[in-house]
Amino acid sequence: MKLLEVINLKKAFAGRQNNLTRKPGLVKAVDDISFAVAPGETLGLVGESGCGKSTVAKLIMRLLAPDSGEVRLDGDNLATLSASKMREKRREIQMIFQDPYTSLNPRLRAEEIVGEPLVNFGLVRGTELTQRVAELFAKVGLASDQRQKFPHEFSGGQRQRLGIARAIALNPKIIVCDEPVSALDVSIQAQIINLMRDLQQEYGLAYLFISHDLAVIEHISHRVAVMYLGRIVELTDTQTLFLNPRHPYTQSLLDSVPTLDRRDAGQIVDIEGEVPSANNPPPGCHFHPRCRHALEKCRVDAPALVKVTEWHLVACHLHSAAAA
Amino acid sequence: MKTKAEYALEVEDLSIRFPVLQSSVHAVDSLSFKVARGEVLGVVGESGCGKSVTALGIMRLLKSPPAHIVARSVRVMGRELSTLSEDSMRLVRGNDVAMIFQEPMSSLNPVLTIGEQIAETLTTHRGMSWRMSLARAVELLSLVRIPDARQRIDEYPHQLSGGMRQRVMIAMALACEPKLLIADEPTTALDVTTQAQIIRLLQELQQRFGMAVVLITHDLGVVGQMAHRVVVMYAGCKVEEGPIQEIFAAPRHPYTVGLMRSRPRLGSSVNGLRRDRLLELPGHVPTLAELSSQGCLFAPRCVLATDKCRNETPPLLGRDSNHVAACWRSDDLGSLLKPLSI
Repeated sequence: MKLLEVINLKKAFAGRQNNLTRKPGLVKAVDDISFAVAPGETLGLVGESGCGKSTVAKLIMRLLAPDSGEVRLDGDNLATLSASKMREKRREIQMIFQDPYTSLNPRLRAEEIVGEPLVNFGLVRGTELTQRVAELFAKVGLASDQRQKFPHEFSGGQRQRLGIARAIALNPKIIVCDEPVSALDVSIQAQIINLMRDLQQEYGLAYLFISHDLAVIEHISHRVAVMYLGRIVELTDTQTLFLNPRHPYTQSLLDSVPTLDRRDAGQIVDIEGEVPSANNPPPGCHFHPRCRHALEKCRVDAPALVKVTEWHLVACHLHSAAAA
Repeated sequence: MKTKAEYALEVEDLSIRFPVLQSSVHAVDSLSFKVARGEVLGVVGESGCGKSVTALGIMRLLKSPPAHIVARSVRVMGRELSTLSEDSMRLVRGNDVAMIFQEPMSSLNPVLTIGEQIAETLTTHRGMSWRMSLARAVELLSLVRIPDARQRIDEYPHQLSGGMRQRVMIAMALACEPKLLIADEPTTALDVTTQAQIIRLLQELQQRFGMAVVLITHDLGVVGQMAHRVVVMYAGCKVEEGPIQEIFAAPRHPYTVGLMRSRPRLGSSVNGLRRDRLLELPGHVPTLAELSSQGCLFAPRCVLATDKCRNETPPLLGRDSNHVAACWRSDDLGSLLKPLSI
């Protein structure tokens, strides 16, 4: 069963002008991406900066219009829904942002921030509203005497709790989380991650969890998609991805992470080069200039995302032969 | 025992205070530590724990006033810095001690080419001619593995990627072959694959030149990769110090345990640990104004805290002087935290 389905999603932005032709360049921020999220599932979306993962979030939320492709929530294509229908649908899909300092209205009190979605949709009012807001505060671990405070009076972790309370106020089916713990200190990250997992179990929430942090992604996700320069290069269940990564980029990513445990087991492995500019990505497989195993056809043909096993999708010529 | 001159950096009783309204808060409270020659010391803690302000205080880069800096002694290669005049201090910075920062873009001059910025260091401290300095700049850029160094010296910082900018910062820092490098979150702003490259580069250069390094970071993984010894800071104080293997294998302060266990570990899905909850430290990192004046600063967030912890400040103690922690309950830590362990 699929709750959220993203089909062949594409989005390009105007890039730097070409010096010779004077034509504007095209940055393919999201280049033909497809995935699905089941009810109650966490799909992790991981990649380095500039890979297009935040653009995916904005396209799903219809904060940006896709160039082509579909975003289906319970079968309805969000990209083409009328404004009033979309408004209704927003009750089912909510978002949490990276920076709790800029995503909360500084002029609203905490209880107004959390209650706003309920008022907006005219669901409850009066004492019922107060009661519901108090429940939400308790759910996310905020003391009820903090309801009259303004966002600036809260710490970063507490602000993220406010953002979460606001997101769950309408009982959504899925929450798109864009780097929800990246701005927080380590000791606070653990609190938020635990809270998000508790809420998932209690409400059967699905998450699209976007992060650059592999350890966090591994901890929270059921399945993981790895993005590189606008494309998904690997998608499978978490354990398979971390135990047996097939795409050379995924392998390099995992080898790059410094950990406490690895000191004795050897050093981190660094890969050559840097993420190329999205303005002018390499032809063929975007990863080939940094890939140890690059073949001739990797320089020419972009590999399709194909099944190497029933649950494991990889976009790499090394593996597509085996799959065919 | 090592003699004094064998330490690249010795800090004794460094305190840094900032005035707030009628009173003042301490950002760093009588901090002492030493870094041996050629040693990498990791300084770990969360935001606001005073780790960056310590570095700036050592380099005397804090504006004073408002900052009020007191230290019994800050010595680099045995030479006292705290009594130096500002002019003499300028000769120390970039020469005996170099520093690299988290965000290379804001530490590089946007209107000078990178070649000019590196050469400037050399003409200032080494009295080299401009031509020789530029030639040396090319060598230094190659040393930090910037490809096409000869062309790159004419580029401006905005033309470089984040990783390349950090390499330029490292090249500048190494220009005068300092005995001590202070690296403040050198890889925090970088992507993980770039971070791995910079860590590898710093490691190689550190070994090649035998530099002492103070590595300031919030990331225990980065410290684990590079450091020989670790100082853990909380709310302006050193709460634990020891050799890296010992700290990771047998931490003696509950805050250190919290830092280690609150992070999800890579590989947790493979070894079946993923379903466990992360260890939560309750509450939040205290702001400087919230600190109480008596008792252990960590007590309000500590699951092991007793009345003694709340009333008496614990001294830095250990079974040996190598590994010390400021905790009344260090010896009970292992048994008490076992049920929570993952």
